Amino acid sequence: MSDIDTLRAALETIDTQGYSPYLLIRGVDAALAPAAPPGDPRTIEMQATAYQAAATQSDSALEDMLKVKTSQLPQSWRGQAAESATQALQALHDWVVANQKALSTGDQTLSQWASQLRTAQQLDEQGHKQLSTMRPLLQQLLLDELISPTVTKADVLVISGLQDAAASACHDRLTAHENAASAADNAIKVLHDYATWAVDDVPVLQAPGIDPLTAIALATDVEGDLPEVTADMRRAAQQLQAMSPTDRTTFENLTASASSPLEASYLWRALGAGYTVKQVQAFDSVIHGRSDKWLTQHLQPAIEDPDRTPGIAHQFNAGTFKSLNIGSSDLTQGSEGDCVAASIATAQMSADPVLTLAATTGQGPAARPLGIATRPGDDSTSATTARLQALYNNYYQAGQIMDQFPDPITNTTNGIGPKGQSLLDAEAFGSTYQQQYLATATAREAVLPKIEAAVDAGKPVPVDVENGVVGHQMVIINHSGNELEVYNPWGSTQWVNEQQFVDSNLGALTDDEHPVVNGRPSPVLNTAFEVQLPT
Amino acid sequence: MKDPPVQSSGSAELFFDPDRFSAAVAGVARAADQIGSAQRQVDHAAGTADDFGAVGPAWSAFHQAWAARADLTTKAADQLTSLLPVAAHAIKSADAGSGTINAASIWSGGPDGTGSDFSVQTSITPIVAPVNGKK
Repeated sequence: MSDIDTLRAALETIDTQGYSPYLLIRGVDAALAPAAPPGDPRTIEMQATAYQAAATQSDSALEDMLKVKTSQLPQSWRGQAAESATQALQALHDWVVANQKALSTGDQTLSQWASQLRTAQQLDEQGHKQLSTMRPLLQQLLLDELISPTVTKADVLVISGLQDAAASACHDRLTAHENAASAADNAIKVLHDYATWAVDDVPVLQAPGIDPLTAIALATDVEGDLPEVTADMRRAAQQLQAMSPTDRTTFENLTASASSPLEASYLWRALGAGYTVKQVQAFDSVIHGRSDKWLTQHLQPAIEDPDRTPGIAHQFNAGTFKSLNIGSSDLTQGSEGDCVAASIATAQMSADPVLTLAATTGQGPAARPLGIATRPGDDSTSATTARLQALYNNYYQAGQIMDQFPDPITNTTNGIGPKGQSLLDAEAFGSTYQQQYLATATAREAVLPKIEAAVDAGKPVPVDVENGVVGHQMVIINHSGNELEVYNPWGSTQWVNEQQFVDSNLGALTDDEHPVVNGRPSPVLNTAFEVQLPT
Repeated sequence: MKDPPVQSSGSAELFFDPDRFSAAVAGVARAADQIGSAQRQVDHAAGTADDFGAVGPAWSAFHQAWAARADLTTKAADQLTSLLPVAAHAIKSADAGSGTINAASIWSGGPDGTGSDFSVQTSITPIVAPVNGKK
């Protein structure tokens, strides 16, 4: 029985004892049994003060870094190497901001806990003292009653007064323990969240072959204001742990020979995407020595919505590949009915730099004959767009063949069946996926935790929307708080909140378009009727 | 005598001013010192988990995790502090010698890609497929 349960039971005994000194003594003894809420507020405050001092110290470091980053470094050194140094400094700055936030939170949480614990201990001590004081009086009353069993009116008044006092004291102890438990729960939740967040990153940050600055600069992304290890880096670290010593040495040498931290990070990401060390070597032979600008332009679709303006989609008409200024048709399904293939392939590329390289240059271990005439190394808009659309068609046809659709090579209207969907999910995301129908708002609400857990683990979640006449597939690529980030293969990404998802209010994701069916406009695609979830 | 700024000929790609750069290095070194001081503040726990009462195990996990991160941050800051002078030395050496800038090998890559022909395409036509046919 917990201390709180013991005190509740004691209070009940005291309240219902009638005029029996014996029962009252039992109640008081039970109320005296639990120890005070444990802990030393002074030690807790000392720890909080240390966290506060560390956070304050971090403030000074941040001021210096900001000055160097925004003024001293750009004024003294410009060029590609300087840009990399500035990126490393920025990452270090973000990391210190995160440390400062955690330590400030630790300070506030512990300060509050120390104060609440002290108050609870004082109240508990007060109740305990009262109960201890009345215990001998009750003992005397019990003895008197044994000698003279007749209960007088005066006896009743005395016992009644003692009963009230015992109940009040016991209630104080109960309140103290309840308050301490509630305060502890709050503190535990905050500390646990921050500890989990930090500990989750440890396997990556301590992986062999990754030095501290690389870990900070390249293994992390800033989510909100807190940098954390990316899902692909987590997968890469797991791959590395499972490798043979020879492969591990080869990979470590490869990253050590990288001509920039960014190149090294793409080698890690390639490993995280599931490529062998030999394939990563082949990938590196194409990207080695390239500038940071070239790398980001050719290896990262960057389909995220940086604006996060509610109700406004981030359009990729000005170039989805970072700064590459490739035209709008590059990452869209174009005029084909291959929304499933386009959304899946694009989400796959966002976590797979090797496949992205194949699309932008036709080179590397993921490059394969796509039935189109483009020269390897040609990264022009026309060549890139042609390769991307060929890739989508390739997926589209593979999916149709899986479902034994007629004329899969030429059929551009039938879409993808369930078997084709499963094949593409598994091929692209490296996991078995299962479709889940969402017939009601309750079902949509119930599936949200699964969706959010999947995208948090780096697994995109294809989502199908419909209007009762036609359907369309998009892909959920991110989650933050109560919002979901959805990529639409029509060429945009937008954040929507959970309530929009539950309430069938997703039309904004498809620009509130009324799809034309048989020459007539149909309703907006508002309802998510199915998602694909990793099993 | 002060070193003159290094500038690559005919291009604004590379610029290096040793005097101002020294101030930047000093700033990073100062920040690294402060990061180290912050780390030392959290390096030692004020007590045992028992002293923190019911919160003890959660505090212990929090403390270990963030002390480890503070340690990593300190090492990264020290690493950055030591890399900056290496880069400066490489640039100065190159300037005094052949003119080849070796700093790139410390932090950054080589030539940009060629053959790009990037232009914005026309707008797209949204396409959806029948529900019964599945997307």
